[in-house]
Amino acid sequence: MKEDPILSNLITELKRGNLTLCVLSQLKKPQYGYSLLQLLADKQIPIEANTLYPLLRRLEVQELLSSTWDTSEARPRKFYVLSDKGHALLSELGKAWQEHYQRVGALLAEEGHE
Amino acid sequence: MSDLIGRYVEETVRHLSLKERAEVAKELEANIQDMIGGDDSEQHVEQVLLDMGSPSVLAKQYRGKERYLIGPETFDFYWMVLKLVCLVVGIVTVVITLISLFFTESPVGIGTMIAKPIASLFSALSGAFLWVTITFAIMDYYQVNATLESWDAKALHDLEEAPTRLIKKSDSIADLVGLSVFFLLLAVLFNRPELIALYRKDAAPVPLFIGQALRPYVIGWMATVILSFIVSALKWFKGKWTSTLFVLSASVDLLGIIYFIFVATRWKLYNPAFLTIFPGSMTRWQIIIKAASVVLLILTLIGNGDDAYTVFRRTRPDEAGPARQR
Repeated sequence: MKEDPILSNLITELKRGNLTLCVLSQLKKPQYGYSLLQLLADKQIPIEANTLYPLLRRLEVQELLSSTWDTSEARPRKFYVLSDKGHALLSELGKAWQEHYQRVGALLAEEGHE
Repeated sequence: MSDLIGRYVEETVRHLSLKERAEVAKELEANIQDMIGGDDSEQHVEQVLLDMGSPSVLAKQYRGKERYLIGPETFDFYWMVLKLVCLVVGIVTVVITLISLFFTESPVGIGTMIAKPIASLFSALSGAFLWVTITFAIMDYYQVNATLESWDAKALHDLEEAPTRLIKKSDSIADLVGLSVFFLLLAVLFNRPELIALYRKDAAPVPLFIGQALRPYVIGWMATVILSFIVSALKWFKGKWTSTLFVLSASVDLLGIIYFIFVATRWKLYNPAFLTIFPGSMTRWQIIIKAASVVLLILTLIGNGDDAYTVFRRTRPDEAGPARQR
């Protein structure tokens, strides 16, 4: 069946809202752009490269991530890891997400949706 | 092949601010190299870059915000000002052009009577559009907040009354006094144009104007001052802005300034003997007058814009603009 454009739009929208949460959650250990991309893809959260790289940059500007350049290998890589501020924010954002997820779940269950 | 990557990265960071470019370029290139991995055949590199999307879209993601000439927050205000300015400028231009056609020395055919106002209307409206747009674009660029102010309980209650549309009595009185003084000065200028002159110790004064030529223009000028006076009196009497009052007020302001520019640029009014002494030559004098005209015009437009903001910021749709009342 051909995918409904309205549906796929809404799904994209739905996922985009949680993107930052997903990215932050995976940065307790340092990752560079491409390794994070693969890590998330392996965990069934595929992100477009052209979304992820700029997002990392913006989170760094917002001081939620700190970065270091690793020049020990052939290719220099910029590693990102949660800053203190990022840690604090991640735990708050995670809580908010849990709450919201439960509430939405309750709404759907109520109508007999599943 | 790596040249392809380099070009892609360059094209992306070109859209970013200078201080970000080097950092983003270095990181982006490293990430793309990682995505390409071992297979650096041209076909694979192409595929990876195509998947990354166009450089301008990517750059937009890096900037994190859309770029607008005039942003969605300011657009309504911009549109309102644009309509208003075009209306006022349009009316004033047509009136001035027609008046000046009536006063030309040689007789004018009906063709010119129609064509000239249309031509000057077109050029005036293009100019109005250009300047309003440039002004708003600059305001947007520097993030000047031109949107409606904060929404709180006070603003809610103000919706009905809009007390900020009151015109201060003191402002109207200052206008009336200023205009009266100016009118008297014009009267003096009319009677004794030679008083504006360069006074020197050992020689006769050199007047700035050629008196006989200036007189008819001074009469016109006095007429514009009388108009301004009437509108100011109206403002003082009403004590509150209405769309019509604003249009009147802006029109006479613009008429005044445009008439001033019109007179100041009648180069044959100036005494060449004076100009050779003071700015040195007619050309220099013309530059001074033109620069001064632009500054005065801008100041007038700013003043009118300020009034427009006061008048129209919370106007309800049924009285959204003077254009709709006709």
